[in-house]
Amino acid sequence: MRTLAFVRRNLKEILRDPLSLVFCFAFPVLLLVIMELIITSTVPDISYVPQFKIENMFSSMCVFSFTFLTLFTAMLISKDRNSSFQARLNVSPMKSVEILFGYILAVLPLAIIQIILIFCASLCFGLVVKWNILLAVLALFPSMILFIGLGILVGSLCGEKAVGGMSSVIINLAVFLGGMFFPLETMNNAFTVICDILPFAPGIKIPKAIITENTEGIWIAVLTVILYMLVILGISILVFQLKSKSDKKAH
Amino acid sequence: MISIKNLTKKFKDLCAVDSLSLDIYEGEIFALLGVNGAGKTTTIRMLSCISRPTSGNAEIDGFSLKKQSAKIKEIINISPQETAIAGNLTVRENMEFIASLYYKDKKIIEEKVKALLKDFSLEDVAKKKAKLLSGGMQRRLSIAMALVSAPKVLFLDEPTLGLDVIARKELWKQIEELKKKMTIILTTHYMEEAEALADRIGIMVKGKLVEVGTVAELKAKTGEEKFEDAFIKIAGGKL
Repeated sequence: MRTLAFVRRNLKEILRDPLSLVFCFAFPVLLLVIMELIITSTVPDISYVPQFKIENMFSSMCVFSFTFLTLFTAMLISKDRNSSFQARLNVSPMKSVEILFGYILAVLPLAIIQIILIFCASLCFGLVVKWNILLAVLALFPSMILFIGLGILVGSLCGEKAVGGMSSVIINLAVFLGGMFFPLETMNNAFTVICDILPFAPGIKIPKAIITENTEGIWIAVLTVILYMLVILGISILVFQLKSKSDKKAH
Repeated sequence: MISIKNLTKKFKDLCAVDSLSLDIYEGEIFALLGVNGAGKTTTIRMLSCISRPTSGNAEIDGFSLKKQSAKIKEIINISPQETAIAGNLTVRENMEFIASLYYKDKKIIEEKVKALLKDFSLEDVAKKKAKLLSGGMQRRLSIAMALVSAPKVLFLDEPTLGLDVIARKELWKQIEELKKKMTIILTTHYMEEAEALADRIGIMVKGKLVEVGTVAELKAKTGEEKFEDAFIKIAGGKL
């Protein structure tokens, strides 16, 4: 009950901020539309730029939109931690675990709305709807949780001013090391190895492979993303709890 | 109602609150005065379970601060120094959110919120986003949010800081109306505020509680006619 009340509060705080609406929902959709319009009107054969095939762009833009969940989760947690609002929560009978789940559960519906919007935009550019779309959407969940976990981590560790900078680093890492706008296959070996070790490229690769029904060797990517998700979520919960306790000692 | 024994808070080398011992009685308004850094806010943060004491303990309504903080949280509330409101939520939503942390029954939540909106003259702005209110109204909302749980003990940390004279007087009226309904511990920099509201006053200097008494007792003790002069004398300033 208390957690649900806090979820409602967090959702309202995020959704009533015009910046959140622009970056969480409008920007990834707009980027997909612009890129697809440019590519379809300038490139005669899409096989030259496979990363812009709609099934690739659907996966890339979903993961890209999740990076903004990191930003907004971190901003909300950091703002509450550094303002007296956290003091009010600490005085209430709410436990820190309820507060933590209040943040996580508030961001999940935003991620689902992001997927729906990007899916609708992708349909306009020829995404073929088959049963495997549902599986591809399910395959996005570990990445979704991973980026929410990163948001909790950044929000717990950084002050309000540092949150934007740290989240930007994560957004850029996800874009460049996820191979969203360039084919990783064309890069040198060391770079692709780094990209495969990190969770961003595998997170995009999984839904893409499911949609194109080319799932050979996908299990390594699945294991990589799930492992990162579990580790990051575990660390973020631990850090959040520890920071709640250390904030109590330090003030 | 509150019995504090040797409550101490240290930050590395700095002793913010030094062996504070004090009894605060049920239904009284107790004001903690002191210059910046005297330890007033740290004391309030410890008593309201936000910050852990380094040593010492306190009992609030019979519950131990160190061992029964969950019980204490059910009977206290705080209006922090900065206005602690959710800016993007409306006035009513802010109240309902805090109420739902204490009550499960929607009817009770509605009744509590309705009554407090009326008591604090916030009905007209109930649908307005909290961040769009004036400073005085935000402070009023912050106190109303603290009262939604019907606390036995209310902590008010510099409740009128930064408010203009009219908003301050209005808030005093509201705090006075709470007198006897609950025990109130407030910190303030304004001498006239302490004089107008407090039954007893404690003066803190460098983390130590150096004097406790009524305004009349403190004036008599220092031989000063004005309470402000008495405070300066006790706080170690020069007249």
